[in-house]
Order: sequence, then structure tokens, then C-alpha cells
Amino acid sequence: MSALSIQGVAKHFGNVTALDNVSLDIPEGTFTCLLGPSGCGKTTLLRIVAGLEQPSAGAVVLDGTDISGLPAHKRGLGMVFQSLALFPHLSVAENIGYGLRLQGVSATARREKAEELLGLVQLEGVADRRITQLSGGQRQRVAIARALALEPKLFLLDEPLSALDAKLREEMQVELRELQARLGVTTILVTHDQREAMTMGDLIVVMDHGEIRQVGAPLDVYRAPADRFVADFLGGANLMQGEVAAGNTVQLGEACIKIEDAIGAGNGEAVTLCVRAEDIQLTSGAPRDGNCLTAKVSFVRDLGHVVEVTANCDQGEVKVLVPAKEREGLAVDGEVTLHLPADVCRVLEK
Amino acid sequence: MSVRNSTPGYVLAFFPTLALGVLFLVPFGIMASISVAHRVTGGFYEPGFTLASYWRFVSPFFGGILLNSVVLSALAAMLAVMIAFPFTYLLTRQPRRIQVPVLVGLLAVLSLSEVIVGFSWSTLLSRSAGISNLFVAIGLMEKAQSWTPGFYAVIAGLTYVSLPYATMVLYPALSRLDPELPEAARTLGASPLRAFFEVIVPVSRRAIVACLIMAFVYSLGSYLLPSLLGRPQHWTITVHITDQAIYQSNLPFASAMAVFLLVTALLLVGFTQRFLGEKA
Amino acid sequence: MTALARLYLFAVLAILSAPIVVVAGVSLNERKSLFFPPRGISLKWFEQLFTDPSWRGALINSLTIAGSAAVVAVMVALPLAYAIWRYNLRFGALLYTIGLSPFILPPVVSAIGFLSFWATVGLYGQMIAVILSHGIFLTTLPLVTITLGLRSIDPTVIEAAETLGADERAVARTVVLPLIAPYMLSGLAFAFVLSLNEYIIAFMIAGFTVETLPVKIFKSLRYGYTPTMGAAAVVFVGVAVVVFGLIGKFGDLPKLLGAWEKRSEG
Repeated sequence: MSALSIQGVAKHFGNVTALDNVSLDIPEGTFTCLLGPSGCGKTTLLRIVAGLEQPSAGAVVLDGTDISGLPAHKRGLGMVFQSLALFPHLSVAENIGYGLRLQGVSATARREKAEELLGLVQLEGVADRRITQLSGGQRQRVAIARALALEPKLFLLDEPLSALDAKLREEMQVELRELQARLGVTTILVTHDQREAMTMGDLIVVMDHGEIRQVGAPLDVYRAPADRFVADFLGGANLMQGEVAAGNTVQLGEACIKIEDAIGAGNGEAVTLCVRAEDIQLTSGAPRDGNCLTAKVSFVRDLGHVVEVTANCDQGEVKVLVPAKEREGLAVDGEVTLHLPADVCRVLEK
Repeated sequence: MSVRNSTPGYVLAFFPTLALGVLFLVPFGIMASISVAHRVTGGFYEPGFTLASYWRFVSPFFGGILLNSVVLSALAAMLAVMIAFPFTYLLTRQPRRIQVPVLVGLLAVLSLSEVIVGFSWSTLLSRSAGISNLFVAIGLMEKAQSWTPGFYAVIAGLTYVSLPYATMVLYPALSRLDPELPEAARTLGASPLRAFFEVIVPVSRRAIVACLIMAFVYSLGSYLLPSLLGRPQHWTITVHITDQAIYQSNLPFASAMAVFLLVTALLLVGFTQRFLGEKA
Repeated sequence: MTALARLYLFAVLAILSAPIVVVAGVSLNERKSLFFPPRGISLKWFEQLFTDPSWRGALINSLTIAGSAAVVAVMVALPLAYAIWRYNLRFGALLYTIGLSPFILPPVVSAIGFLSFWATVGLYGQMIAVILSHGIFLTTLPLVTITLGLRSIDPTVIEAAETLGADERAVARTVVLPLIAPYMLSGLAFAFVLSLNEYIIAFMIAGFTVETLPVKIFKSLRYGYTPTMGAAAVVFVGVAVVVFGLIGKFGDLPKLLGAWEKRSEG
């Protein structure tokens, strides 16, 4: 178990800046997800931690030791690659035992360890198979076992589940999370899938354009996004342009929305109001208090357990999730009132 | 992408098939028939059937040629692949803007006429203009000397022509190699050099064997270098075929040796294709 | 990339270019001798290549043969590649293999084959025999490049054209041909450069009647060295570099040579 500290790391590829002065502290034993769209620098950051890429500036510190100068093969980290990178010329057990063999561990001990790890990833009885004889999910498990064989200080995963189909993927997410919790190994996973990050991470690091936009526990990041980008990327957020008005309110066109949290920005400043689709209440009657917008329903989408209503108001399109039992009476072109409770409205300054 | 009715396909394929048949397969047939024809000393040949030309295969003369051809070509092929493998691997790891000019250069060298290669190497190894002058200039040698003709000159020349060829044969396989494979080895504690020998080489062993055979056939096909850079005892079967056909006017014996070379090459290349075609 | 790896790459490239550097140096000699480094600098041997009747004649022969042979090679390869790709020919794989073999087999074998063929037909020593032989011998190159081009066409593009009313002929003319044009051009260029450099077949079929530049160089090699040989070699290397350089600049050279598309960065 180890703590990792990334200090002011930058990476330039020619004129392209892949990472721009990134600093991040990862406490020991946590499962951290680097989340962001493709090209945001998350994979580059992971590869710098692994020693596969040299940072243009900054340092990677593991347990108080600067490891920036160490080559990949001397870092003692376990990594699962996007392509899995299993050695096709070796058997399953040989793949898992590869690192141990380099350390001079005896053949019987290697075999024992391989069997033990296969048990850990719930894949017994395939030790002598060739990699080409395994299914996608099985290869996945072998790659995980191989990365864990050296009992690494850090467990790194680069979009390891992206090749699996949706169902298997969700199973593996839960399994991987349980495995990590059991071993307690400090883990960093790179993903572009916000659901995956929410499912697995203790800590989510949202990245964009080579910068960290927000770090926090999944629900904190979801409920209180730091900016427009994070709110948008995590999905389900309605973003509306307005300006700060007196009495801790935001003026959205003619409507005046009260906000529970104190607004940092001064009066008259342009801000973005962020409200999650599931936090908006739909009423068909007259507004009960302030914090209401009138809108016209443009589309109703039945998702089974909930209904997604798309409505147009002066501020643009708003999406609202309502329980299925409130489906009745909702029709395209119908007038609705959107109630934005003060405690769920977030004000974003960017 | 194929459509069900293939009649237009046959119509379309007719002309090229005819061309290949008449101009490629028929010549081999004629060649084979000449190989069993009677030789007319001083002239061409007379149709007939005799295995006289093939009987010459069991002479020490032909045995010597064969041994020499195999030794020279095998040595050159091995050297070429040994140099080409790391080179090609490193090349495929380079960014495009480096790869493309290097590939252009390789193709230029590969397409270079053997006449020009032979001429340059005989100059390069000569006393008046060769690299030995360079060694003298930097004090490694006392006096410039000629390294051609000789066994090592032939080896150098054959290795040189096989090198870009071997690179081109290895290039597809190596450029498709998953770049994460050596990285995985490195995260597991292997140094870059160790990752190269323990992962990249074994993963590519099929490509290496195939490349060895192809380079062997390729240097076996060299017709000028052994005669330009070597002495008559270094002549390979290819040189003798040319010599018999043009200078000794013994087309039947040249044809017989050509048939032998053709069959050998077909067997080797056929084996390679089958070997490569198998699933890993 | 470590310094060691770069050094290795550089060393191999240096070895590969060494003979060319020497030949280029030799071609600059002031007097009719082959010294390296050259003694005195003069471009007169390049001039001679274009003015001396025998060298000039060889140059023109070479260019004529290479240009015509490249066209023949594409004319044979294009319908063959198209028919194999578009229609399920029963002997498609076999035909393709036959198309590949001229280039893979030792050239001397093909040379003897062509020699006996043209001697039988009675065209021995004629330029047309050299052109047709080169065309067949080098058909492998456009066959490979065109097949590669055809295989890289997205099948749905063809289907889209068909749903929009294109018949077989229209599909070929309006969709397939424009898409494979760069591959055809590459094949043409490869065949051209290789025909220009080809020696053994040209020598065996018409070595004493139609002298090409490689044959001429070879004869000078036997009967009297002259720096003009170096000049000719430099011109050949130059042509090859320009032609392949153009393919590299405007085409996808790594893909033509068998590399896969680069994976997009995650």
C-alpha cells in the first residue's frame, strides 16, 4: 500500500501540450479514476506514472521517494493495458509468472503464485492454455492477474474494460472493485466512461485538455460539479445562463431563482445555473412559489423506471426525469411548470 | 466484396490470365523442354529428349556450385536478417515523419540495379577508391589495400542487397506488433533490451523464419554480385546459369539448372507461405 | 527512444548509403579515373551521359522500356485484381499467386524462360520483347498495390452507390476507379523504377541489340571503367528517390508496404 503524489507534471509532444502542470495526491489504498474525453491527457498521465513516458516537467513521488528518474522496469508497478498486451508466445501461467521469472523466482513457486492469482480472479483451470484459446473476459482476468503477480505498490489500469460487451463490462467493474478492496492496493484506472468511474472510484479526477478540472468523491463531483465542463461530462445536468441578482438569487430571464448555497460571484455577474434532471420537479398547475420556470413539452421518452421529459423554456432546452407513475397527463406541446428547489441549484462561475 | 454472378469476372480476368499464361507460364514450359533438348556445340540446341543436362547435376562441378551457392546465400541471409530485424523494429517505432523518408531510401536502395550495387561495392572495396583509404587516413591501416575479389566481398555485397529486402519483408509484421507488449514486459521488470529479446523476438519468430527463407531465395537470385565481387570459385548457380546461357551457349544446361533453381525456390517460398498462413 | 537505438538506426542507414556516396563521389572525378574522394571536381560525366550518343541511346532505351513496361504491368494487373476482388472467381487465389510469382522467383529463372520464349517466337533481340517481358515480370507490383487499394474500400460505399442506381459499370467507373487511382499510380511508379534498374532479363533477351542503361554500365564494368557509370548510377538513385518520395509525400507509404492504420490515441 502506497501513496502517490504527482507534482506539477507537464508533458509536451512537439507543440502539443498533453499535460499542463498537473498536481494530484492519491492517498494509499484508494481506487482513483482518471476520467475525461479522449485526448484529455489521462492516458499520458498514467503512462508517466508507469514510467513509460517521461514528463517534460514535474515529479512523480511514491511513498515520499521521487521516482521520476526510474525506468518503467524498476518501478515495481502493475499495469493492465488497453490492448491487454498478453504475450501470445507464452501460456497463461507463463504470462502471469513472467515478472517473477525475471526476479529469479523458481518454477514451482511461480506456478504456485500463478494458480493462486488465477483463483483470485476466478479463472481456475486455464493455467496451461495458450492466450489465443481464451475468451475476451478470460484474457481480461489473466491480464489483471499478471499485473498483480509482483504485488505491486501501485495498480494501474488503462481503459482495461473497453473491449468487453456492456453486460460483462458491468460485472467486471464490480469484480475489479471488490478485488481492489480486498487487496487494498492503491489503484488508478483511466476511463472515458463516467458510469464506470462512478461505479469504481473512491476518487474521481476529471480531466480535460491536459488539466485537472475537479477531484473528489463520485457523488460530490456529481452533485457539486466545479464547472460547466464537469457538469456536462458527468451527464444529466441542465445548464442555464443567467446573472447574479440581489438576495442570493440568479435571474434567469424573467424568473428569479433562489439559491441555498452562498453565491461567490458579485451582483450582475454572468453565471451558469446547473440543475440535475432528476432534481427538477414537474407541476402542471400554477407556480407555488418562486424558483419556477414555465416550459412547453417537446418530447417525452419512456425509459421504463423513469420518464425523461424534454421541455423548452426561455433559457433553452431542459431535461427532467420524473418517476414513471407521474407519466399521466404529460403530452407533447403541453404547458408545464418546472420547479427548481433552492437546495439543488448550483451556481457555476464558468 | 463480391457479387454472385461471376461471368463478367471471368471475362475481365481473361486478358490478364492469357497474358500471364502465354508470357509467363509458357516460357517456363519452353525452358523445361529446352532443358531436355540435345545440345549443339557452338549453336543453340536441337529438340529432343535427353537427360544429359540433368545428369550433370551429379558431377562434383555442380555439387561445388550448389554448396557454394547455399553457403553464400545462407550466410548473407542470416547477416541481413540479424541486422534488419532490430533495424526494422526500431524503424516501426518511429513517428511517421521519420519512417516515410527512411522507407523512401530503403525502396531506392532495394530497386537499385544490381549492376550499380556491384559497381559501387567493387569501388568501395577497391584499393584506389575504397574505404581502406579512409582507414589509412584515420590511422587504422598503414597502406590502402584491395578487398575484392574475394569471399568476404561477395558476402558483403549479398548482405547489402538482402538488407533492404529483409526490412521490407519484416516491416508489415513488425509494424503491426502491439506497442503495449514490450511496455507490459517493462512494467513487469524487464529492461528494454530484455523485453526486446524475451518478447519481441519470440513473438516475431515466424516472421523471422519466413524472412530468413525469403532473403535466402533473394540472395540466391543475385546474378552479378558473385561474379563482380568474387572469383570463379565463388560463382553461385545463378551466375552459372547466365554464364552457360550467354557465354558458353549451352542453353539446355542453363535451362536444366534454371528448372532446378525454380523448383527449389518454389518449394522454399511455398513452405514459407504455408508457414505464415497458419494460425498462431 | 534511447540514444543507442538511434545510433543503431543511423549506422544501418549509413551502411546502406555508403556505396551510393562512393559512386556519387567517383562520378565527380576530373579525369577518366575512379578515385574516391574524387580528384578535381567536374560535372562533365553527367554531361556525357546526356550527350554521348551511346550513353544517351541507352538512357532513351531504358526510359522507353520502363515507361511502356509499367503501363503493360498495370494493364495486366488492374483487370486481374478487380476481377479477383469483385467476383468470386474459382481460381482467384491461384491467379493471384501466379501474378505474384514473377517477382518472388529468382529473376534469372524468368530471364531464361523469356529468352527461350522469344527465341522460339522469333522476337529475340527486339525491344518489344523486353517491354512485354518487363511488363509481365513487374506486374506483381501493381497487382499488390491495386489489391491493397481495393481491399481498403469500405464495402458499404459500394452498396450505397448501388442503392443510388449505379450498375456494375458505373460502380467501377465512378466509385472504385477514383478510389484506387492512387494505388494504380503507385504500382505504375514501382514498376517504372524497377524496370529502369532491371538488368538480367534485358540482357538475356536483347543485351546485344537494345542496350539499356544497366546493360551499358555492366559492359563498361567489363571493358573500361568511366566515371559516366557513376553519373548514371546517381541519376538512377535520384529518379528512385524522387518517385518514391512523391509516393511518400502524397500517398500512404507505410500502408502500401503493409503497416496497419495507426490506432487513434486514447
